[in-house]
Amino acid sequence: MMNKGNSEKPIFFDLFCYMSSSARGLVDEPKLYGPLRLLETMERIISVLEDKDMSNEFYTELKENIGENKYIVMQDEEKFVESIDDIVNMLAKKEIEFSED
Amino acid sequence: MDEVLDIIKDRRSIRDYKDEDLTDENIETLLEAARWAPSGSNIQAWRIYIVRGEKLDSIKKFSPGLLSDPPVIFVLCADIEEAQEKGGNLSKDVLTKMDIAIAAQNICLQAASLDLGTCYIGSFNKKATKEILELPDNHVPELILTIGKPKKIPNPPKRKSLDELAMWVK
Repeated sequence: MMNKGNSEKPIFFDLFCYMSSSARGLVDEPKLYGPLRLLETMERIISVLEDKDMSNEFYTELKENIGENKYIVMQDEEKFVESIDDIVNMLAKKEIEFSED
Repeated sequence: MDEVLDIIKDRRSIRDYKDEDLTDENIETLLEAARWAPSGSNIQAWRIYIVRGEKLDSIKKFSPGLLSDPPVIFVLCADIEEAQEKGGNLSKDVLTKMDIAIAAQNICLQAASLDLGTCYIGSFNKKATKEILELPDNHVPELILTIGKPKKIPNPPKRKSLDELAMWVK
């Protein structure tokens, strides 16, 4: 059980606040906010990994890519979807690299 | 061009703020702009909580739409008790929400005239916000406005043409 007051916050606590609020919000929000929240979650997970010195160059690149493109959702749906395709593609290329090792 | 229309056209939704606080004088000017907003039956059943520091950090964690780091947020609430008492269901369910939006736009335009940035945040968890701010039962959070000095001003997004938005009735 967590103590009230100044006890150290467990890892991912803030992320869980974000994810649970997103889950509730998405019941009523525009459908494109679903992908946006998932991308934001990836960004936040990478930030936690960076804080714990567990990230790497590839994740940093991934995070930058998400950060640069996520707000397009409110301006241009097509470009937003293209930016998600780019992220998936980045991961797919990396997966090929891993499988060839 | 008309000065008001200039300000309306220049206002952007800001999602990147400088790490600088606002003066209390700035905040009071924004609140004064809100105070003069019209409201249904002049009931003025809205309340504004000015939030900074730790409480802002806590609200941010439960606000998926609040992705920036503003120095201040305004949490605009409906006083549902006053709305119901003075204006009935119409005021409680509809007009007070509209009044909040009008007051918010007054704030946004006043802020733009002071070179301050704002952004409407609708994606936030009302229950968590109520809990964190320890709001009385009759104050219901409806809208968050982020406010600060803009670091980056985005390009204006596409606008529908007037032909799509307005119909001249002859």
